[in-house]
Amino acid sequence: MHSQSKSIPLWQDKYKRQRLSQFIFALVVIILTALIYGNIVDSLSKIGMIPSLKFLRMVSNIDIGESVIEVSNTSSNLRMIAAGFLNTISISFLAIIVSTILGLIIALCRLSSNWIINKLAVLYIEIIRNIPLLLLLLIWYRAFFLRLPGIKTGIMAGERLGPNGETLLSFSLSNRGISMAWFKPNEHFQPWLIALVLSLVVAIGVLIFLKRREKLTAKEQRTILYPTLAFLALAVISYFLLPNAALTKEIPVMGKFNISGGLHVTAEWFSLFSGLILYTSAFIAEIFRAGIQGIPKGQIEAARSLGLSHMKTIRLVIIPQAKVVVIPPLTSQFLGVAKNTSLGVAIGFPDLFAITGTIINQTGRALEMIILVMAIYLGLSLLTSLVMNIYNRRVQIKER
Amino acid sequence: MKADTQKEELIVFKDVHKWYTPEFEVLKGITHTIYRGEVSVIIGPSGSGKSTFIRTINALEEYQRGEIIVDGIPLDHNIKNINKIRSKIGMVFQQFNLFPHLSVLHNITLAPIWIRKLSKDEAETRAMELLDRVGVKAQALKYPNQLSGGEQQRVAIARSLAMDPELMLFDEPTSALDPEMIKEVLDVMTELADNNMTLLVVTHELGFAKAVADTVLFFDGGKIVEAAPPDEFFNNPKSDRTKLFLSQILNH
Amino acid sequence: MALELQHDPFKTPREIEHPLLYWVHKNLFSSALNTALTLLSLTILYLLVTKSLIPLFSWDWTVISANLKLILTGSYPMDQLWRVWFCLWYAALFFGLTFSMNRTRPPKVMYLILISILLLALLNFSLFNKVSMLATALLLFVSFFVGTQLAQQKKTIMVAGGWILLLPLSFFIIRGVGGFLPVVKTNLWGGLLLSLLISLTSIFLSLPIGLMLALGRRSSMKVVKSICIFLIETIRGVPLITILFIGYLILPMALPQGWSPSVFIRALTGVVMFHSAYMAEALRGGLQGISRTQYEAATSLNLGPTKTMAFIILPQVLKRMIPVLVNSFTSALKDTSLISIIGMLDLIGISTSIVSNPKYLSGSAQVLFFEGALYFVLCFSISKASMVLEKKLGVTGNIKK
Repeated sequence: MHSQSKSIPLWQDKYKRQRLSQFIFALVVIILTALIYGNIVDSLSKIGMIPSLKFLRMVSNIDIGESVIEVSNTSSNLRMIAAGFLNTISISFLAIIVSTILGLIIALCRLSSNWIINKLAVLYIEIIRNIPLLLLLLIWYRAFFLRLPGIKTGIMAGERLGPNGETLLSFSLSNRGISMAWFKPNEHFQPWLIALVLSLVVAIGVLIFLKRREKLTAKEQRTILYPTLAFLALAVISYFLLPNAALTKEIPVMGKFNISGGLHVTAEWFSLFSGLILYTSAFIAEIFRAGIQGIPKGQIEAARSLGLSHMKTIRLVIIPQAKVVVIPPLTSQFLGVAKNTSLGVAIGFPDLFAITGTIINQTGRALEMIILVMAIYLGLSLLTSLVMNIYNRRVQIKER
Repeated sequence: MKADTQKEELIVFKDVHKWYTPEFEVLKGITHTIYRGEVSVIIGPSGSGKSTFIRTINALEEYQRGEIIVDGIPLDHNIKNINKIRSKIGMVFQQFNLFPHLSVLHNITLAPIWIRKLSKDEAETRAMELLDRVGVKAQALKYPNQLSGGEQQRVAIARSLAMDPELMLFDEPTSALDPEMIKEVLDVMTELADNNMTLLVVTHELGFAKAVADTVLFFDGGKIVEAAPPDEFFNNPKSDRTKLFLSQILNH
Repeated sequence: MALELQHDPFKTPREIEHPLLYWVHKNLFSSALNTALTLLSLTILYLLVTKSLIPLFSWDWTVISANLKLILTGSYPMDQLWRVWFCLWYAALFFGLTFSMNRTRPPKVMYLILISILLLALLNFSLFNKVSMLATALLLFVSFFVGTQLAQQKKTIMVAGGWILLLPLSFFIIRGVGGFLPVVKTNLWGGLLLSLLISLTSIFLSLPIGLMLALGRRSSMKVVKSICIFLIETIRGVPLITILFIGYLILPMALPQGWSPSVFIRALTGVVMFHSAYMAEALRGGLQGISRTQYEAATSLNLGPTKTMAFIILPQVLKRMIPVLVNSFTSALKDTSLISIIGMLDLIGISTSIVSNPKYLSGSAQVLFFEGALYFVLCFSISKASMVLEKKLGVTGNIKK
């Protein structure tokens, strides 16, 4: 407000009091942080450790069960962390996609008029929602996988002898995991990769063309079907046109102690993955159900009275409105998946957190590692929120 | 209102300006004096600053330039002054703003018990007197959501009266009411005016203005365009803007 | 001329004649798709039941009966178990009193509890345990009927006070104090007892801490606001296990020399930090639901910020938040299972320790399923109770005219 001729004492002035309180608050926070940090550094120096990041370059001496990138026990700690990080995001990404699809299916079951399907869905959702994820993971791992027989005696299919006398399999399920024949890129993969990229470009071109046509003619075009068809068609054609096949079929070979070749999914990966998708899909199903049921019945009545068919009503009226309501809780579920992968440490899956734990064990660098791993998870959360927020803004219904 | 010889200045506005941004100024230089016992009715189009005007008086809104003096106490950012001023003023809102989780009686006794340090019995006796005065005594133990709009607003008036204010502010007290309940609230306000309470009322009820007001203020575009006793105001408006506004609202 | 309806005019004659068949047709076989789905799901159900459910009964469940005490209370000394029972009786007492509010006859759920206790008492337990179980049920009903005779006002105060005291009292009794009750150190606490204690304490403590964080986040003072946002978003953006690690590894280093907190305290700190951040967000939503005009009314009555918060805002927020609070308890119960990862022997941690005994090596699946059932029963009943509570709160108190 305007200036006064006489000044107001400090403790009575509205603004000065606020500033003073803030100042005192900040001071208290700074002092506390300094005290705590001081104590930590003290305790660390007593055992000969001063916080530093040099240990990241040192050899890790850690063996991990699986990784997307090449690591061995002579890789640096930093490389190990990167391996864990890649494990985490690869499994999270897949889990998010699969659990969303699964959640959608279950939500549809939950809304079905078929009594059995409906009640089965309810049963599923209620059971999953009322037990901890950790328990689910342990059940998958200990009560299922670990009870399976070993690789020599496990469930197998397509067992036959190969050219060099070794045993070949098409499929194996054992307490190690799942192995199956798989197509893998070989030395002639690069030309096809280029062809794939070109097909993608063409598909995007088709998409842009169709969208433009939609705008100009105000007639709806199949903007998803045609680009996808184009991409797939070009990919397949280019594969067969190339002189050398880009992929080779790799068949698993039964060795002395393990199976090599083909696609190998470890028991740990599979347990974590199945646990995650079962758990998350139940919550996603409820989110979808709430979103769909939250749409006022009047909307559906209006759409039908305009003559829109059942499918068109769903596509044009229900889904766009449901999207608005569904995206924020879905975002927090997705964030939850990434954070829940940290439970892999309980079943031996080498995700980011499991590797953190091992490194802390080996090097004693608890403070540095915890801060580092928290920063990484935070960064991941922020990134996911950002992407989802952009999508969220696009779907919002314009209001006055 | 008392005879002119006993006019005592209660609220003094001296060139008061309020803005949110330099382009968006809500009060553009208000200078006015309100006397003890005076009933002022404020009318004007929406967005003219009338609600802001009365909300600055009990510091619900801040102002950037000028001076406001309430009963000799300057209104600035001195907390002691603000509290002293607020204790002299009672306010009634358009949306009643009763506390839904407390009974009607408790709504009224809350402030007297905790601020004026009355005992529970004293506060409740006084509250029942006030409820009787506004005609809602039978609903004392009910909850706000169980009352009609008119009853709730009367309880709100009683709640403000419980703090013995010297001045009552009303921000469109009947705008949220169904038509059949407007009269009962206006009757209570008229009774207050008859008992020499200083009232400042923002309203669209021109009948009330004609019958009870000592002064009618017309707000437009952040300024007081005209201020006059009701006879003069309605029969002989001086400004063109006043004439235009009156023609718009009187003829439908 | 009054019409006498003998049946529902919206039902077809067929429906009235054969209600069951009609229902079956409508819900299961109304269309080709529906029929296919019904057959498919029936097959799946059949497979599930025969392949999973039936074999369940042929499993060897001795691992459970032999280790039940471990699963429920960990390594708590057997001769001191009466103290745990005592806390249960205290809870039963106040449950009875709570149920007796606004009621003259016991609700259905009390009979349900009675029946389950009677069934449990039939199983193979020691005499002491059986008697204690029956005593719990007895206490529940006795306190209910005594409660119906008490005045409403006094009862409300008793009930509120009793529930608030439940946790501190339980801690006091279960831990004990030298000279009065022999001390049972926290490293002996385990199983369900440990899980319940940590979850309850965490909800209890996360409420005030979360409230402070939520208020700070809404503050107009930039410094306070930024720090609160930083704390809340950081804790919410990382997995619980990292917060637990902070409590487990960093806390001992951060405290002054000589303070060496037990593993229990370290785990509790982590859990409380985690839940406070989530509680803060939930409270923020609740606070946002209170319209600004309530603040204005309080201000014009000159109530001042503290009194406004205490008498006007918080009572409204907390009342609306009761379902959320009950939900947080179930999440807390489930999240607490993570303390097994830092080596504590809660319900899940104890299962690992049980199967490490070579005698029960093959029993890991049984133990896990049993614990799953325990969690399910607990969490499911609590969420059902909260639904009932929600319905009650929506109807009583503020009836719109």
